[in-house]
Amino acid sequence: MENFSTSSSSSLADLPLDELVAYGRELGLSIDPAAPRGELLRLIRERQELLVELDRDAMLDVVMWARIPVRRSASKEQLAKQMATITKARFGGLSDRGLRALARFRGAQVEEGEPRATLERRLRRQEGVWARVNRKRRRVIGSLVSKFVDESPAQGDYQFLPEEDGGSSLKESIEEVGVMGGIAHKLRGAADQYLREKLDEIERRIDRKLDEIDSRLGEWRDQEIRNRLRIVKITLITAIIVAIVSLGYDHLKTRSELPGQTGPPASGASHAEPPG
Amino acid sequence: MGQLDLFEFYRYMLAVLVTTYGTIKLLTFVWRWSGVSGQARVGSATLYRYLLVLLLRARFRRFTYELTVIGGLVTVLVLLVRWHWH
Repeated sequence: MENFSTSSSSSLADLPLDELVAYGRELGLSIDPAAPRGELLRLIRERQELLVELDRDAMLDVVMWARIPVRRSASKEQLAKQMATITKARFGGLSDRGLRALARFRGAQVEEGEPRATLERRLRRQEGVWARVNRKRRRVIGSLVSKFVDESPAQGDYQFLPEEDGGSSLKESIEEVGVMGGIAHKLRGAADQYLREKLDEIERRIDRKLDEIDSRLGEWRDQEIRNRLRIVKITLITAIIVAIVSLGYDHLKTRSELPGQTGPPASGASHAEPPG
Repeated sequence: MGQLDLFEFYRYMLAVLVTTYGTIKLLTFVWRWSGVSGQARVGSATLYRYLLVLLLRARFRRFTYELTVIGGLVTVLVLLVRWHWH
């Protein structure tokens, strides 16, 4: 059974709502933050079950096809997080098993023995009309820009990231530093890796919180600017009303000062002070 | 001594009071913010800079409607003031 960082139902249920939403999105789910907690948990558990069903090598094929650097030993959850970031719609170079895994990951229906072309078409259709239009627009822009900018060099073979422990086995460690030293080295390596992962996770959570605070402050700023503009509008409307009353007063005053004249007052007869 | 026109007096006093109030508020605001920005305390200065950056990041396109209305109102006000002068 694949181990997920928040695999146990209790730890998943203990997560705060925003963490739950973020975790679901990391796993490639399009989640509505306003959805009930139970619904979020159900979706995430379904996604975890899907990851258990998916072939790890097929997932690795997808990540390699997208040329996302990962370790060869990456877990299914790590691969899923990387797969969630893939938006490519040209499936050339992707293996059949990889395509099927990607289709299932994106929630498309996959049938046994289905031709590859049908699956590709279904995946493209699933993207939506506007996304396809935008993609074509970007493709045109990309081809225009690439005429002026040098083409990037041809892509070489895919290379995995180096493993955390440098790939040395327990046998090699014992051979180099003895039994106790080798075991201690291996344990320390595992502990270091665990700590590093936890620190990375904490860092990611802090970053997410900071982003959230930033976006909330942005909303507050917009609301504040809107309030200020409303006050400016009210002030201007008041000033306009006073100006109209003042103009009417001037008009009446001019007419009362010239009782014999029935037409409009002569220009330059105003006694008005400039407001402000 | 000329005859006292109550409305003229009201207009004049309104202009004086509003201008004075606006000037005092503006000067207080500038003084307060220059004081905050000049403070040696790192926290306050950082917050001040962050607020400035936050303000600079505001997208004025979001306030197009409000700004258009304000532009229209300013135009009307300017026309009314010009009519006072003619």
